[in-house]
Amino acid sequence: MICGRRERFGRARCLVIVSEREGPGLTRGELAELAGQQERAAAFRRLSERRLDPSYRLARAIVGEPAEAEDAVQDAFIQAWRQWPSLRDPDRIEAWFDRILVNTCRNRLRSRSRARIVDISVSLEIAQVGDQYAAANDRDQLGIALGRLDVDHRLVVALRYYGDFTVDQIAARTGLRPGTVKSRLHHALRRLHALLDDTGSGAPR
Amino acid sequence: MTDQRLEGMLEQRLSAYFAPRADEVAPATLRATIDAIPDRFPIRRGWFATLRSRPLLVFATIALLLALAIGAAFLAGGRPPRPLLPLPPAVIQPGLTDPPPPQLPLRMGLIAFDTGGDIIVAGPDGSNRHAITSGPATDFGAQFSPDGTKIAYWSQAPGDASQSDPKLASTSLIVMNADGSRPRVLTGGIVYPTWAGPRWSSDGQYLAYSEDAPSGTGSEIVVVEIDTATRHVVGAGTEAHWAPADPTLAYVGSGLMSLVAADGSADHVIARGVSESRRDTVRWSPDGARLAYLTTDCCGIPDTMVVDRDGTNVHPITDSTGTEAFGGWSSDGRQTVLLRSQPDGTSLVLVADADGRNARSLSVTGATGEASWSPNGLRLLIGTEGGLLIVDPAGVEPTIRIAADAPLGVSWQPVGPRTAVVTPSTAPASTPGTRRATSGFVVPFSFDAALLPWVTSERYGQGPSGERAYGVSSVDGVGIAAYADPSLFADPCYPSKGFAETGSTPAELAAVLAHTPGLEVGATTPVSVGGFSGLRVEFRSVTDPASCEQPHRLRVLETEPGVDEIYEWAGAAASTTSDEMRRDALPSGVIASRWLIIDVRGTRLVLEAWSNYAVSSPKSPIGGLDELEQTLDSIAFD
Repeated sequence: MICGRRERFGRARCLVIVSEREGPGLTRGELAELAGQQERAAAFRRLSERRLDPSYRLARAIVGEPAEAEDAVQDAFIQAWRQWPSLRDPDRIEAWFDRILVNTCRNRLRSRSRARIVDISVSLEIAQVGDQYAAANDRDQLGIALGRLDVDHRLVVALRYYGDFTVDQIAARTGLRPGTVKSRLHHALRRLHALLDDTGSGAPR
Repeated sequence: MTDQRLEGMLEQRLSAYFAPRADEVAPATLRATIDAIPDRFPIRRGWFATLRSRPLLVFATIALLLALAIGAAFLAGGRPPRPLLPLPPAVIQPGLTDPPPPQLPLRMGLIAFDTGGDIIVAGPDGSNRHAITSGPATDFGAQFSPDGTKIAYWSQAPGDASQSDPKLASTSLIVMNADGSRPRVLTGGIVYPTWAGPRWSSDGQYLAYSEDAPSGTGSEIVVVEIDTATRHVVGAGTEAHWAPADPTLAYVGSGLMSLVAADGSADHVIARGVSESRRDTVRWSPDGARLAYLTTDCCGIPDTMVVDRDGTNVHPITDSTGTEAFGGWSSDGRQTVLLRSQPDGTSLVLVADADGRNARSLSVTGATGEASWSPNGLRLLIGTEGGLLIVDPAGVEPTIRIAADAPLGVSWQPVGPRTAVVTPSTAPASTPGTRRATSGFVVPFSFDAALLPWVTSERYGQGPSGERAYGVSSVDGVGIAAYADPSLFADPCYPSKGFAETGSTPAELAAVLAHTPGLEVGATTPVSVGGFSGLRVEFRSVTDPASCEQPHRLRVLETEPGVDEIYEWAGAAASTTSDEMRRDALPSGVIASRWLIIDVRGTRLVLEAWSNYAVSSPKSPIGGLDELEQTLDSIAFD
């Protein structure tokens, strides 16, 4: 390791270590960056190998749509790559990465509520005879209700029931206090109850 | 059932809901993209990295904030007024003694809707949304006037709106300019009006609606004459719609559909067995010759019937398959939209021929039962649980989603005749590959009040000589096209030239151009395309040699998790930013390109930030802000 975790607040220290490896044709800085990059790349690939699928699934649980989830995951890995020096404890890399992922998912959800999202697929289907009373199943109702939760509530619900994380684990991944996580979960469930009970569109007719 | 038990059941449902996702894996394209990140994003130590030391970071943040404040002050004082969008928010101030002069918004096919108790106006693609009412009153049911210059809506005062039943709240009818200025209360004390909003007569002289009769004996149809703010009751009923071209009102009451003149005369019944649902169920055909309505029925399944204006020729438009609502005919009368109720309370949205045949389902989930055609009949606006959808029934253009909280009224601003043309320019051919994946096109001005707010698709196309063309088309059929020879991109002053074809009138164009310095307009010639007349306007941007010597640069400085991108503009003043992602199917059919749209001092830059997943595309398979930054380092924008 050349710069390692201490790079964060002290480049000079890195350069001292790097100086032992100085070779022809490269400046110290260039050499340091090259070696640093290789090492970081190897660690990054180990992370992506292990975490890509779970990350994608978690993102799907949080943001819903596949394309959005892909974007969130990609954003998260790009952020992770760029923010690698902020990983202070390699043993906690998964929580560190999950936190970045949760953040990118949250940003996705937020930007979805303030900007429009243009969907690429509008598929036309020929209406099937008899399809008009296709049962709206529990899943759809729950999905609609989840979609109506606000970003922060949706986030904790997905982490709790998809990720099966404990309150403390959710707190570590969201940067919230455990008490806040608990109360958000409580409120989210209450809101879901209300949404599921309310079968109308919410219009005061 | 106890709360605890209910909670347990919900938890079980949630676990089941999320459970099936456990076997999902990330798409291979995403995996390839992620794997390429270390190669595509080399660790570079820009000056920003030196700010890792905390004191410097604090200092830099303060400096940036200062620069922003100075920049904002400069912009506020030194810039000419912006074009008509974004419009200023308005607050209803009864007794306003000196109302501001009316700003006439251009007829650009805006949409108006309500969310959170305020009226929102947005471009027809949902962009540039801004509230034109604010304050504690609950405002809803916005409807554009036929000439597009005014909006009528309902307003419930805070005390009333907070009552448990909004049906009992006292509601006022307000008309204001479409930019939110000059609100005027026409009448108050209305109880339980038609939620979707008051209806304008085609001549813009009257508004009609239903309200609960003061006697408590059902509801009555009220017509308000706008100039004099006089109201009179023309009949008993729950729903009223003006004919498309004359001040005749169709209304429904006691199972009858009647026509009546605006003054209450010539009242006569034209159909019986009409369902009364207080929903928007009666529709005039575009030519005003027929009306569609829902029947009361024997078995809980209403039919949509059509009757000629004189009460003859009654026939069903649907085949008793359970259509609950009729969204109306397209403007050419050839297509209809049907809303079929589903057990979950939402509707299946069908587009069919005018006779109800050839129904095709639009894959819209959670439709809540409101749908209407855009004025040009090219798009459908559909209300859903999650907000509004603008759908191209032909399935070509992407669906646009507009977040909104169960709007009660949705209205398209009528548009004048406009053209939609994207024609390649005759600019010289470019050298392939010289611009990599990243390119940009400055849109320093706007025709039709704002160019990009209603852009729905941009395409890079190939002109007849192989040049790269940048074309733009809008959702309401208004077309605008701008082309640039890519070799111009290398010019430090980044001039742009091209032409636009627009349905705006010369006066409207002049109004816009007055707000767009830096634009030189060349020849203007009348054009006629697709039956619409318009103008073809040639333009080029005027570059200032002084600014070329010290060009303004836009640089993407850094991103942090959870922090929006930070930009540098003109050395110091950071711009306001907004990123909107767009997706377009590439010619290779593979997936998507991704755009970054940046507001810089009110000018919107469109930058192709990266094109993802384009496996077989000649474009770079992954790029990003780094690439953008590298490119922008060598290009000046102004």
